[in-house]
Amino acid sequence: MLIPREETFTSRGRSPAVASRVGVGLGIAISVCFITGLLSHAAQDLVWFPWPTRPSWGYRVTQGAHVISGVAAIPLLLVKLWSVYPRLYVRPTVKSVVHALERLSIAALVAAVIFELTIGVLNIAKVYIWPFDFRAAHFAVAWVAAGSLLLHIAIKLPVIRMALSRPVEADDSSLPVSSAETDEKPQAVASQDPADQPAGGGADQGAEADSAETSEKHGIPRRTVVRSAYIASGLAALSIAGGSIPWLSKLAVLSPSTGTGPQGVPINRTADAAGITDQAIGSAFELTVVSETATGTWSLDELRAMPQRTVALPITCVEGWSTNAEWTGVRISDLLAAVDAPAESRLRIISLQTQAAFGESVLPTQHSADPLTLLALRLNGEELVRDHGFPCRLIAPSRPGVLQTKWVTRIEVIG
Amino acid sequence: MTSPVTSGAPAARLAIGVGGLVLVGVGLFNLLGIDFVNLLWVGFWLAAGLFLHDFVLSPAIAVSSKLVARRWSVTGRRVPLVALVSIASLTLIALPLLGKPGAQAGNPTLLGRNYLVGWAAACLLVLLGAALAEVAGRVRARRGSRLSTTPR
Repeated sequence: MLIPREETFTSRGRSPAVASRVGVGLGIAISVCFITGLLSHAAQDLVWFPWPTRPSWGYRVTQGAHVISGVAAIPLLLVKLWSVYPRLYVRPTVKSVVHALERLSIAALVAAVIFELTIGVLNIAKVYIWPFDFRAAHFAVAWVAAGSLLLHIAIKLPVIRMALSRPVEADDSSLPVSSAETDEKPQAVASQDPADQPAGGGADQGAEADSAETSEKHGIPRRTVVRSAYIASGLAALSIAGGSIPWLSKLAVLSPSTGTGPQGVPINRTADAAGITDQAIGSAFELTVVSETATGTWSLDELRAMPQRTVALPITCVEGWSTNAEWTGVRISDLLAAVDAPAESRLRIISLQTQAAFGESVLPTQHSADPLTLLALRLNGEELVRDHGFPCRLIAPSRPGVLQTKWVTRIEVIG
Repeated sequence: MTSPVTSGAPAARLAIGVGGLVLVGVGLFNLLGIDFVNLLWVGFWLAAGLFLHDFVLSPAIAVSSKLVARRWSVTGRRVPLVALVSIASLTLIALPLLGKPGAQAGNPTLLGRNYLVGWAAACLLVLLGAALAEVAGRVRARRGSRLSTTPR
């Protein structure tokens, strides 16, 4: 028999009881991942969105949660799909228009979630084996995944409620597993609705005892399958969480970052990769700040002579890792005052880099006015090294690392 | 009698469903912003993931679990199941890191860990934990059977 049928798969673990219980965790993980992904998109791309500067570790938490929840979702997804896999071979393949739409929504959900988790993990590993823009595709398909998840929940809600209200080992062979079947078996379904059961659920308790015994004889208990999913999910999260949570760093065997580097901070893009030449950052270097009414220029020595501030801020990469550091430099608001621009100005920060993306960034008003936002000249007590943005770089509270522009040469007031 | 189709808070189901359709619509709108050739590639990756899961990974798991089921008793399969799911997940996550194809020349701070050793150590710890859990389970089972056979 080449093509299996639903009945071919006999494991009791492949059941609504397991699918629902694992699905709850998977739904939470996907929701956290989606919401934190939207927040990251807002922080990076939505100029009108008032992304707050406090707490200064805000982006560290949201982006760390994004990566950790995505990785934690992988084992849950594997077990969830395993538990419902026999449904792929249900006969007839399509029973009605509603059934066809339901199957289509499930295909969209599975394809979108696999896509998101796969390219997300590959992005963390810096492996780009596709021609499309990662950010655009990851963002668009995330909406499809989240929307398909909601559709799936809407369609399956009665089954989910029934499955969750019954003991995990209870016989659920009579539960409808699709809305199409719900249409076909009204009596059976209605009689199993927990709301229609007598108080105490005596029948189910009896079924639990019988089914627990049956599971011992005929397969692994379902609760073991559910526990396996959650334990694996926790271990997967632990393998990467240390990239964002410093005290877990030693356990983060699969984190892309070592957690350290020159001057105690990892480097995402080196000066060579950004096309920074020695000439560009040599003695002729000048910083230019342009407002509507004035233009100011400073050499590196002149910047060093300005009032210096020292702040402790984390730097957070969009790929999830983050590190605390002490930064010293000139407040952006001091530079703006020198060219008669208000502290609450929207700024374009332009780098000397000639290669790769993010050669410039836009700094929103709330960040430019924040006293913690610096044009940093020093890192952890030492002058910035070339790969960290020498001669000067932006550092602002709760801001994605790709927008903490390095090798800054020009600042323009744009609003 | 509660109608099955309308059971489970129909208003809530409708709201969730409409919300889902809106989100899918936003996603499709954003996909249309991707140029046609790249959109085809996105479609290819979506289909490839689904295909690989449904027709490669899942059948392989089904066949291998049948083989495992023949060799081990049900009780003996509990702890290995936890270990297998954990190791399979860790392996999937580690795969793109193992050969460090994404490493940048001159930047040892990214992808700078020994991922092969880290992955192997994690798997060994999982196996060790599974073995300890198995032993603890057997000890508990023996104690339980002794207590049940001790005359009162």
